[in-house]
Amino acid sequence: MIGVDALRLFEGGAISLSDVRRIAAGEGVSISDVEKFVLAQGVWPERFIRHSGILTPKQQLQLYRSRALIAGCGGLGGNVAILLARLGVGEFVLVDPDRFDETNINRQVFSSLETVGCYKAQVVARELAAVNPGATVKCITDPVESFQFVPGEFAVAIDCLDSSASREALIERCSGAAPLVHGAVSLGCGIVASVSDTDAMKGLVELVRTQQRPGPNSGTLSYVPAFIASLMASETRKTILKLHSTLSNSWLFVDIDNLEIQGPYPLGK
Amino acid sequence: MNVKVKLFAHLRDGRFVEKDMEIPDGSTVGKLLQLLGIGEDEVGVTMIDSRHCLLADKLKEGCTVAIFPMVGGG
Repeated sequence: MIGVDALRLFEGGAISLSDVRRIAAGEGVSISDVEKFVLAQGVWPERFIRHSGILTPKQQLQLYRSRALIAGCGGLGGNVAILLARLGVGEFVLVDPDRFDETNINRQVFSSLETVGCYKAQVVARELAAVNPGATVKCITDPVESFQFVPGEFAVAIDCLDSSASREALIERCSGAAPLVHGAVSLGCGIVASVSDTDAMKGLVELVRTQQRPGPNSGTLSYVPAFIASLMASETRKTILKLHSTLSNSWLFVDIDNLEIQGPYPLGK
Repeated sequence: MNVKVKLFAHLRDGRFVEKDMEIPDGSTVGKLLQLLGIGEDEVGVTMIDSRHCLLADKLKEGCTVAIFPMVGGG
């Protein structure tokens, strides 16, 4: 596609999006094709150059090639999605049957006066495209219970849901099929878990069942889902890149206002 | 019997962070919540000696009970 000698011309080992678009148009390929090619040669797409020294081009390429399922596109999901898009995850499937309403505005990053009434998954998809035009995003505006997937289809599934029943349905689908990063928020607190083995997923189901309550969940403040989503994005990166995590097959309780973190506690046996 | 009770986040409001309590022998986790005036619908995970437990589980002399608030939103 591009000669190695030509790649050396890109100053600082980075290539701008405008150059990528020019090459893609000339070669009749996608932005994604060009950027994956240059990463394989050790050249950074410019919007990821600040990852240099933290990630290797090979790790960036691995993120780019990875597909993430994000179930729930509200307070947690919207934040997680944009963080992963900026990180360079290359494929997303967003699942959420809901539309934004006015009550979401205090904490759901893509809810606004302009998006009230719009499908959350579709709004989030537009926002992801604006920061990562090389990403592929698919929206599903049906409940997660109606969604099936096969082992290996996703590098990771991310639970940003708000009902115990839906969470349990997602965990069941992930068991033996995909590692899962779980998050939940209420008032000034949050929970984060990262599970990959079947036993830990059963433990997560037990945890999720303890959170069942009649009626709506308690409210929360703007920074709570943002904080928990950041931890979830961090765990997702480690999951995709197969890096060590102290949260592996465990859960964490976060009390943001009191600056306390409890755990990690193991899940399963 | 004597147990150590740890409360987290807003469950501490008007109560305590950590306390040794004298409770009736054979008490369950659910009974402990009653004694503390904490509604079951406020509670999420409960743990005895850092292991998950159910509200129906019985407490033992000297154990440590951790009570976390419900956290289920997204």
